[in-house]
Amino acid sequence: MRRTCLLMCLALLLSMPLAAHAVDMRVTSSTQYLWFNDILNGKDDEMLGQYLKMSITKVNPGDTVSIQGYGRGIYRSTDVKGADDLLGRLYYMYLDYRNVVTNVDLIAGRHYVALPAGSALIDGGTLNIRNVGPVDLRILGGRNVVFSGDRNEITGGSDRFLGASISTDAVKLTHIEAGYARKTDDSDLARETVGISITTYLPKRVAVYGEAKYDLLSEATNELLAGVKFSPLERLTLTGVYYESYPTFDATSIYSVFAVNQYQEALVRAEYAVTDAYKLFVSYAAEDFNDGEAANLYNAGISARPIADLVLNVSYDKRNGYGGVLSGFRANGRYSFSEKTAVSAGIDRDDFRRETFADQSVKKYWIGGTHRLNKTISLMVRAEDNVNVNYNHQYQGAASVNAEF
Amino acid sequence: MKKQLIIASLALMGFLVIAYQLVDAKGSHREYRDLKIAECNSCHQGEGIASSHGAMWVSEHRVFAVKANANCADCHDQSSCLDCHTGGGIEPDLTRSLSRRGEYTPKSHRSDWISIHPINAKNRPQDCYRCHDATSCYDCHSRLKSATMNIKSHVKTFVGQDFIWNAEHSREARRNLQSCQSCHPEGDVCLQCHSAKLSVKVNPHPKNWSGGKLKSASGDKTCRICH
Repeated sequence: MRRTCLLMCLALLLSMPLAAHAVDMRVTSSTQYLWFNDILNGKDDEMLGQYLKMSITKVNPGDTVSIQGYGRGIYRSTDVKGADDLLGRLYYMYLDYRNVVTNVDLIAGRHYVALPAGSALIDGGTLNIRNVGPVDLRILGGRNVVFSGDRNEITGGSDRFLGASISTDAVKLTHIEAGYARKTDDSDLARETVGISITTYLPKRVAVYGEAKYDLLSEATNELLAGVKFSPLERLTLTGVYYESYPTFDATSIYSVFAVNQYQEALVRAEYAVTDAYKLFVSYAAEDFNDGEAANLYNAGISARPIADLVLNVSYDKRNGYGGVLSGFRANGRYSFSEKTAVSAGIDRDDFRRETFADQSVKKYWIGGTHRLNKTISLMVRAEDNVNVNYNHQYQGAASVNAEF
Repeated sequence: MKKQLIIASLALMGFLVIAYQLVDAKGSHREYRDLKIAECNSCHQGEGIASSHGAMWVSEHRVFAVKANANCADCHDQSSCLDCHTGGGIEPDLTRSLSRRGEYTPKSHRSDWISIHPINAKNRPQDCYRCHDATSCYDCHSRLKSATMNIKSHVKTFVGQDFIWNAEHSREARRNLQSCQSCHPEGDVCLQCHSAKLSVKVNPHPKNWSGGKLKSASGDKTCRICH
């Protein structure tokens, strides 16, 4: 990990002299202070965090090279077993080089990759090769980076993610892509998947999309999704989605050999803009867990802007069936006093009953505000109170100083 | 039935793609990156393009974001992906609570999430793994007392009884095997009955199990745990 970071920083420094002319460098910083009650030890705790994101562009005359970086460090004095006091995460640090040669783009360093066959954060490279006849190619690979909970990176040098995809946009407004991904866990083959995704925009405001992922090692369709989005009226959007999944596990896990059930879901949704200021949505999903177990989900909400400076959101959802009963009400609003200052507040209430528990109700009240001091610096503060079976009042909050320069 | 559904879906998509004469190609959105989502619709809907970024965009963005030519980067940095998928929060959003590590919590992680998540985790069980790896469940579950995590097959009915080992545990496991990993990451509890090396030898495999490529994937290491 340390060696990877050092190499990346070195690569970054070495690339600087290339930029003999005026490069454009933008930095976003957020310094955050949090206070909360840690559920794991029941004690009040505090945390100090520093996020830093940077983007360097106009490195070369054609502006085809950029360097992007993002990371954070947090410090917390904790006595939670197995948790580190100091946590650092380098989310990404990569060189993005468009048209290294004609129609070939390169991304090198730590970056996030997503293919129809799987996604990962990798220390490695991605090669995009465009216009190979009617198709584009993507080839990528590197060390698989996984962050987990209260620890820093949990993967090592022999955990790898490799992938490739072939795609075509030969039909206008239609994208078809097939991909392959392979993951190794401590040098052992853990996952091997193929996937396909299709999106197409048709006339009359219709979009059709689908995705399928097949696990080659478990020899099972891991996920299948097909959806249609349709706007019969300019202000009305209807969506229908069918989704199914079959849990598969890393081949290195004992769970990969166990029998599992397929999960299926059918969802319909409508979104309607009454006016530009009032929007409604409603959805219903039927879930099938197999062996005769099912659940129903209902969701409805409204977003309103009755006056220019006030935004209100209210939603209600209900779930009943396998696993328990859950219903929740959420209301929040934001009022802007000026272009610089805004205040927000909200209430959440949830009622639920798990299979082996009695009925319970929980509530959350929160309030916060933002204020921009100048073009560069803004402030934010947020506090919330949770009322639930474990706490009469559980306070937590955050304050941050944010800068963009 | 499932095969027919897949074939029918693919055939329908193929038909739609071929049947329609399509309009102008998608353009760059860079110049619009500072617009509000509501303002996007004035162009999208006027041009006959189905709108995106609606009230439930979080649950449907994936298919659009994995495309090789996805134009997400016209408006978003990779931090937009990673702040949710790997835990972060450089742009604090007042409507969202922060976790005990200062990371965004999505809307699905509602109030008293510790108590409610066993219900919500049943909806689209694969979704948890888009942001959490299997070890993250164990990180918490290993620190909490098991008595606080009652589930149907683990409820004690007699004093001194540890578990109810009845058909319920197998049904629960088949429906959401991922949840077993939360407390038993190595599956050692399962192997007390399901290992071929021990006396009970209850077969845990699916019907018509051949092992296929799983056998050779990890150099037989996984198979040799029980055989």
